[in-house]
Amino acid sequence: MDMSSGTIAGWHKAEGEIVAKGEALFDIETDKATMEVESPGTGTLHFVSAKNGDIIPIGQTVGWLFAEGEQVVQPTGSDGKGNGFDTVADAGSKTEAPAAEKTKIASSTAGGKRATPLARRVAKRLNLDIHSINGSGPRGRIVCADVKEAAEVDPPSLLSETIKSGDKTGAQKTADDLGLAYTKVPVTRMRSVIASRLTESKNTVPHFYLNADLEIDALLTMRAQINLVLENSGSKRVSVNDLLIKASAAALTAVPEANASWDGDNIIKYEGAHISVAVSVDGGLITPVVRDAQKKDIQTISAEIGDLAARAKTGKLSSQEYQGGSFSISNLGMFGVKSFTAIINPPQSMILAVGQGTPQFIPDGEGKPKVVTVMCVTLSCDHRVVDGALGAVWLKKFKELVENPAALMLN
Amino acid sequence: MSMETSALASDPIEMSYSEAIKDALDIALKSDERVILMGEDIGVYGGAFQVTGDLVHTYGEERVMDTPISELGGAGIAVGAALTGLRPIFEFQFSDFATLAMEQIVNQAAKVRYMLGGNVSVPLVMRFPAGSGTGAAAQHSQSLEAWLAHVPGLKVIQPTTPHDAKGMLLAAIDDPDPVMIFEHKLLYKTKGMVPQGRYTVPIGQAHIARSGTDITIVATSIMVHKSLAAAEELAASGISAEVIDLRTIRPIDRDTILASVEKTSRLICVYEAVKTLGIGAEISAMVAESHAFDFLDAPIMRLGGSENPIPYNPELEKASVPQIADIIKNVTNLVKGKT
Amino acid sequence: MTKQKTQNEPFALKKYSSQQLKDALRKMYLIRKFEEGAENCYTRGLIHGTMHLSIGQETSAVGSCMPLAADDQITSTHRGHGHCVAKGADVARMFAEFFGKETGYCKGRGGSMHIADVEKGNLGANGIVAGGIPIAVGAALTSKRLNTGKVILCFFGDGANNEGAFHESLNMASIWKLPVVFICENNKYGMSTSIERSTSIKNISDRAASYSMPGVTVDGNDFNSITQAVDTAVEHARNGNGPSLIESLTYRWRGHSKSDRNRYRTKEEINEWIERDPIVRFSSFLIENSVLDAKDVKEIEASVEAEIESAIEFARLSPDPIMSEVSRDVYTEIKA
Repeated sequence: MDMSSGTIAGWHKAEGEIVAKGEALFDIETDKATMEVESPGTGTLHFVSAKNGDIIPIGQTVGWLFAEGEQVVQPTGSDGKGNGFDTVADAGSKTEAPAAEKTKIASSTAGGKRATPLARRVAKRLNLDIHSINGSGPRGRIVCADVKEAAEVDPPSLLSETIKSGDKTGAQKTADDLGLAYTKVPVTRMRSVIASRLTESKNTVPHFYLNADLEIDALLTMRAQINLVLENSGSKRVSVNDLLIKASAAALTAVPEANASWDGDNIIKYEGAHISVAVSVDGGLITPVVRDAQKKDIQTISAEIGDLAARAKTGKLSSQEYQGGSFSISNLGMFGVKSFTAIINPPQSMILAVGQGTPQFIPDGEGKPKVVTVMCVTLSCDHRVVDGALGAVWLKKFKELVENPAALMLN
Repeated sequence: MSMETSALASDPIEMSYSEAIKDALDIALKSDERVILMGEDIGVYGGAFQVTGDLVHTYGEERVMDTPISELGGAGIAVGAALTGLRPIFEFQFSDFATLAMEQIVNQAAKVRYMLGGNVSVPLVMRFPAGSGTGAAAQHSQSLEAWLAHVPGLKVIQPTTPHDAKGMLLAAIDDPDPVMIFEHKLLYKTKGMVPQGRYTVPIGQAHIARSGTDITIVATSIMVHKSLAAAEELAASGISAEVIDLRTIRPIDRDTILASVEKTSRLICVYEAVKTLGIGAEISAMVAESHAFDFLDAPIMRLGGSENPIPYNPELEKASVPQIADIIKNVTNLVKGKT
Repeated sequence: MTKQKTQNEPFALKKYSSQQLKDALRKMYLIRKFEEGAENCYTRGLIHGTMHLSIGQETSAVGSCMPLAADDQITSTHRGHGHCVAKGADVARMFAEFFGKETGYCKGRGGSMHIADVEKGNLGANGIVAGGIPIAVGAALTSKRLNTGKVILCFFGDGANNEGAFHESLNMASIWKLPVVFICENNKYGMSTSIERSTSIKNISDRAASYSMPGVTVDGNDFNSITQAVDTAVEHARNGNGPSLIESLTYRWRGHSKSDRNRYRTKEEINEWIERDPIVRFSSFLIENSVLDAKDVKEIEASVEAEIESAIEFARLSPDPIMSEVSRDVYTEIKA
């Protein structure tokens, strides 16, 4: 959705009132929700031209703020050339954009702000509003150094979407009321984005879940053989997860209808299997993408993930490296988790949750007990794209590949 | 046609830029009977810049040919010879005299292959002593490489060091298409290490003369030396400049430049030729059109020659082209975000 | 058909066999019909751009090329269709080139002004007046340097004789004694400027003396005269004695190009020359000397007409170049 207009849903300040920068000024209603617009500066509010219920196109001036001592005269243009700040119906900067969709930020250069391409790029990556940064370059130009200074010392956020302010649950109030001891930790940008995206996902995507137990002895044996060869040549070992990624990609290639995303009027079927791999980082979680994993051999996949994970942890991923996945895999087996259900990463339509492989007794052909290593996986599916049967077909294929891993050597 | 098996390049020795060129000519003349040299005063006189030296004594007047003062006719004869089986290397006494031969260079040499549907090639080399700083004034000091680089069908190179002068000339002689070599006069006496025997330096590949992180300086010819000197001084004040020796003007090594700009986020082009409508304009536009645009943190700048013919007065002459101080000042302003 | 061997026997009869002479006549007709066919195609919109027709100059072209060996080379001018045919080109591929087709001699990239047939030794027509003169000298330099024995014929018009490149080239060909024969086809006009108004001497061949080479003016529309003069010059060159300058007097019936309104000459003058058609002159000469008869001439004409017709058809049906290949063959791909 491109927001092209919004409805004024109520003013928090009246004509002639003094407003401080950051205070709520008015509410604006979009397709999805009603949002607060904060004041871009401190001053007295005059010449309010939009009233409740008015539908205002993005970029149109709705009022003027005059700084202390400034002569209150109706400005002739709404192009930011007056001495006051424009208060513009701008649904970009500090308001939530619907998940997985781009929002057109009003391109008004209020105050004559210009930024270098690199500054814009870094700001986008760090999820900062370029307009709120002060430029140290000539004519107020914002350069990369300005952006970096303005950013907190945080790893980059998951996406370029901006975050919603608010969403309180009343936890603090209750704790205060009951006199519970607590420490208040401000929510980081990354945490905010995770919060909003996954809330959105849980609320809007019709999830259903399929479980399967996989016998992974053959896989483990193959891994051991591969690693023997790698070790002898001085190369890095591959992990079970690397093999599961390869198997996922192969399964997606075999069942391409499941390699798709819901996009409103269309379903986007991807040609390549782009696997998002969940990596735990300080303060949160990032999912770098192994692009076209169906084309890559296990060693390449392993090396790539190693590199992506390392850079994810030090905040050095580019946005192209954590966007555009067609499928996710999350493995908590190393923490002893037997099985779990994961939340789909929109706009993907499946996520595979992998648990720990543990030895179990199962009956053999003659009904006698034998020990096999069993790993439980849970596939979460978006029912808009993947019906039960399709999900099951995919899971069956995945199981086949994992339990007969020699097939992973073929294309 | 006799071709001696050439010894592999070995054991570098120190020699001057002009000695390196002569070495290349010697190797070519010795190994390939199709190679001939043509030019004014290149025989017993040894060449206006003493490049050909005593080659005529080794190879005779039939292979080291003094031409009358007939640049147009001479260039055309070189074209006809290249078209029909020889490998001529034509020396212009000054690059400024290319103007007299433009018809044969631009309308014939550059275009014959294309006009004839690819049925012929013109393996011609032309060498041009170029540039200012010798007090020779307006008609003997120009840098016209951009003129020729503007013409599809030609290749244009500007080697900066003795090593590259020899290697790129040998590559040019091997090249089946017309190659124009612009040699800055002030470089002729500069020295460097040059491998003995035969080797080539590829045409179309720029060279990162100095690695850096804060800004990319793309320079040509003598401006590479000035840029390196500037970079040394800039390092002392904490600015790390990457200096790219472009070496080949057509075709430009786009990949090396773009990768560097992505790394440093700043670009300045430094060249002696008149700034406007020159090589810097091409490089700037090339970068601005590419994905590297998104990595720029400052405007792209050019330093080039001023809008006047090269003056006679030595101070005016220096003031007409970029100097080390200009490079330092402009780079500093760019990196410190003042430009 | 008997040939009389007398002291006064015309050169052509002495030097060439009947078949060779018949072939020469056929070539002249081929040039004539080719030019007329090209003109016709142009008028019908099948050929675009412009063209510089050599109708009326056929004998000069064919007579000059007679003494050449197959691997001798020529350079030509913007009025080069006749030279191209005289040196043995295939008219079908010439038409294809003029139609801009991929099957043309230059794959549709050169057109009329840059027509060439390198395999047959035609290094190309040239769009620049005097552009081909230094190139011819260069080819002669190669011949001498590599000892191939080739002689180069350098065609140019009266207009070229005032270009700097002409003078520089003749001078260098002379000092280095290169095997090149300079043939100036003087058709009295450099576009619209008559030779009287442009050139400071009466006979262009007098310029030869300035460059210490033999020079002669001949009637280029007389087969015997032109072929004998060129033959002498070619021998001179082949024997290592250097270049010569031959001025071949001729006349073009059509304007300089397709945009020429002939304002600089009279209809009477043109008609006068048309009445002295060099091809008729040559065929009469051959009939008189019993090399062939009128019936043979008619057969030659008919055969040529059929060849031209099928050549145009070939061109018409040939494929156009592929647009995305517009920048192909600017540089030479080095095959590893």
